[in-house]
Amino acid sequence: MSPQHATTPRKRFGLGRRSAAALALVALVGFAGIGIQYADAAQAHHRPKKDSIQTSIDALVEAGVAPGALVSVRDSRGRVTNYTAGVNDPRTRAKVPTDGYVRIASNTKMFTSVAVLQLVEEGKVKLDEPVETYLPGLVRGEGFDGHTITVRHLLSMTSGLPEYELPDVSVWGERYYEPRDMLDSAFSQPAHAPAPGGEVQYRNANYIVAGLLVQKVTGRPLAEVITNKILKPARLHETYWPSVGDKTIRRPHAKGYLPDPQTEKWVDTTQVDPSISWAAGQMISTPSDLNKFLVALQHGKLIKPATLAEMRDSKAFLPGGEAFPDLVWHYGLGTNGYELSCGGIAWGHGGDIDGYSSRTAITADGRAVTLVVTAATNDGVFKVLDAFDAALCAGK
Amino acid sequence: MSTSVSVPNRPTRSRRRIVTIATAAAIAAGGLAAAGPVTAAQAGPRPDAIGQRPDVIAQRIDALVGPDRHPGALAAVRDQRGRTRHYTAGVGDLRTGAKVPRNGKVRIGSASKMFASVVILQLVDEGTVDLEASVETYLPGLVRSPGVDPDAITVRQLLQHTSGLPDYTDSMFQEMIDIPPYQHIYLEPRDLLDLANAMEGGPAGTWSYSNTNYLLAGLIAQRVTGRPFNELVTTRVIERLGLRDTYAPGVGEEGIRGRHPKGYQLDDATGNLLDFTRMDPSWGWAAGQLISTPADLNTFLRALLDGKLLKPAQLAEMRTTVAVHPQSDVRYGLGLFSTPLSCGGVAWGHGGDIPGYSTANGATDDGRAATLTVTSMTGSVTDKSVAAERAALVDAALCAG
Repeated sequence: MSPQHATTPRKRFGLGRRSAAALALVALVGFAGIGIQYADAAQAHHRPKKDSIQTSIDALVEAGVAPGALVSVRDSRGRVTNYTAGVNDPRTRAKVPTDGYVRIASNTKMFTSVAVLQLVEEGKVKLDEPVETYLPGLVRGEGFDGHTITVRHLLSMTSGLPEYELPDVSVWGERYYEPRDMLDSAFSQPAHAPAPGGEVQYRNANYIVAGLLVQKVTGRPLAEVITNKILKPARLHETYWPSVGDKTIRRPHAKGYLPDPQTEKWVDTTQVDPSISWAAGQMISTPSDLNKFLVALQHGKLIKPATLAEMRDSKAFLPGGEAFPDLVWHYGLGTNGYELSCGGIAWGHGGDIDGYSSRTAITADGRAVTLVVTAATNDGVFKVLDAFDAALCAGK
Repeated sequence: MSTSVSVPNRPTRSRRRIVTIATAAAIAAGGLAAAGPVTAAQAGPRPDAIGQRPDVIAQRIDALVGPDRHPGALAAVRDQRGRTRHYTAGVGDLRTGAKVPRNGKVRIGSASKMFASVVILQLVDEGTVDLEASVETYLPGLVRSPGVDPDAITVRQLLQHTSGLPDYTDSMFQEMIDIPPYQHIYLEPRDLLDLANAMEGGPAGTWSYSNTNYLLAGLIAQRVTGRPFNELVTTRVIERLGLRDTYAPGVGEEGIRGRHPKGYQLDDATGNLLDFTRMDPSWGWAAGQLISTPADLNTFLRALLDGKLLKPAQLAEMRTTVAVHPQSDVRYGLGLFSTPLSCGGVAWGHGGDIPGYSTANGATDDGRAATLTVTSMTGSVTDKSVAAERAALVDAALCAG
C-alpha cells in the first residue's frame, strides 16, 4: 500500500460534539489533518504537517516493531482522534482498520479487578479477607495456602502464587482450557514468594483465582458479570468477552502477528482460542472503547472514588527486572501506573499476547490514550512505551 | 383425559425399583426412560384427521396433562417410512393459556448423554480414546472421591454407569425443595467435579446411574481434543446431522431459543408451580445441558441406529448392554437404554429429566422413533401414575401397526 494510506490518520469525534455534517465533509475531502486542526476545513486541501503521534507510530512500524499500529486518543474534553500506521496484511498490504478490534490481553485484568471491587462495594467481598473464605480448598500448594492469601493480594499481584505454564501459541492458540486447568498447572509449582504481601510479582494465576472468586460469590459466569455490570453501564459496545471456543475476532479488526525467527516473516496469529488467559486476558475491544472504559472508571461510573483510590494504591516494581532499573511501574489492584515524562502518573494497564501488544492509560486531567501494535514485541517494548508516553504527554 | 391404560403389575414394580436405586435420576438429571412392557389398551395406528377414528397417541397425550398432571406435553412419532406425526396437549404457558407449540424446543436433560457418548465413541474410532483405558490416563489427579480408584475406572465404565463414582447432583438435590435455589446458579464443570470429589464412591462394576460419569466423559473429550465440549457436540453430532433445532446453550445462557413451551417445577415450600423455563443448565453440562425438539431427537435416534454417527464397531459397543437391576428387563449400553417393547423387541433411547421438562424416547431396529416431552418432572405432579403412562405412550407409538 502507499505510504500515504499507511500513515493517514483517521479520526472520529467523541460524544457527538461534532455534527455528522462535519464528519461527512472530512470524509469527502479526504481530510488528513490531525488533532485540533481538523476543524479547519480550508487546510483539507493541503497536506498538513504530520503530528507527533502519527510520526511516532509510523516510526514504530518503520523500525519493524510490528506490521501495524493503532492509536486512539481521547482528550480531556472527550474528543477522539484515531491513528493507524503500517499494514494490516503484509501480503496484500491492506490498511489497518481505524480503531479496529484487537485482543486486549492483560487489559482484561482491569475489568476483572473492577468486577471484584464492585462486589466489595456491595459488601459481598472483603479485600482483606482470605481467599479461603470464598473459594474453600482451592488454593493449596507448596509454600502457599488460601488461608493466608487475601483478595487484595491477588489483585495487587503480591500473593506469591506461582504462574501457570504458557506453551507456544501454536499450542495454546488451538486449545480450549478450563479456568481450573491453569490453576492445576500453576499450583503444581512452588510459591514464588515466601509469604504474601511482599513484592509485586506479576502472575496471571492471581487473576484466574480472582475470576473464579467472582463466579463463586455471584453464582454467575465472569463474562456475564463483566458484561452486565461494566460493559453495559459504560456503554462499551465494542468491548466483549469471546464465548467458549470462539477463535474469531469481530470485524473490522487489526490482524495480529508473530515474527517467525526462521523466515523473518510475520505469522498471522489473529485467530486463537484465548481461553488460556480467561480472567487474566480473554477480552477483545477497540482502542477508543478502552479509553472510554478508563474515562468511565475515572469518573466514578463503575466504582466509587474511594474504591478507585484503593485500586490505585500501588507498589512500585520493575517490569523489566534489575536489568532495567529505570523502568519503574506502579501496580495497584489490576491497574498499572505509568510515570510520565511530562510529570505525574497515568493509570491504566497493558496487554501482551501473541499478535498484539497494547498500552492504555488515562492522565489525572482526563486524557486517555490506547496504543496497540499488531505484534507481540519484546525488543520493541521501549519504543512502544516511548510512543505511548509521547501520546499521553502530547496534550500538555 | 380418562384413557385407561392397563399396566401389568410385575413390570411396574421393576420400574419403581429402578427409580429407587437411582434417586438422582428421579429428582434431577437422571432420565430413566425405562418403563417395563405395557399392554396398550388401544393398539393400532389411528389417524386423527377430522371425522376419522381417534388417534391412540392423541388420546394418550391428552391424558398426561391436567391440574394434577403435567401442564403440557408434546410428542413426535416417526414411522418406518420417515414420516412424522406431531402431537401436543395441555398449555404451553400457564399464565396466558397459550397452546404448546408443535415440536417446540425443550430441555432434553439426560438425553444429552447419548450425544456425549457418541462424541467419545467417535474419538475411540479415531484412536484418541481407549474404552479400556483408565480415567486417570486422561485426567490425571482429577478424580479424588474417597473409596474410588481412578486408576481402575475405565472410560467404558463411565459411559456404562458402572464406575461406582458418586453423583454430584445427589449433593445438590437431596429433595425437591433443593432445586429452586439452583435455578440461576452457574457452575463450572470443575465445580461439579469438586462436589463429586467430596462424596464417597461405591464399588466399580455395579450399575449405578451417576451424572459424574458423563461430566468426566466431557472433560476427557476436551482433554484429548483440546476443544470445548459444546463445540465437539455441535460439530460432530448436531451440525453433522443438520439438527437445526438442537443446540448446546452458551455459558450463562438461561433462555430457550425459538418457540418452546414453558417448563414448570413444583415449589415444595408453597405448593405452587414455578416457571422454570429460564434456568442456568450449566450443572447439567455434558450430562444434561442440551436443548432440542421431539422431531430432532427422533432424527438423532434414527441416525444413530442407522449407523450415520458411528462406525459399526462403536455402535455395537454402544449397544452392548448390562442389566440395570437384577429384576428388570431394562438394560444400559454406553449412554443408551434398551427397554423391552410390549410388541416384542426393544426400544433404544435415553430419556431425560431436568427441572421444567421430562423426556422419554425410543427407536426400534425396524426404523421407528418416538419422543415425548412433558413440561414438568414427575416430582412436580401429584398423580404419580403419569410416569408409567408416559412410558406407555412411547411404547404404543413404537408398537403401532
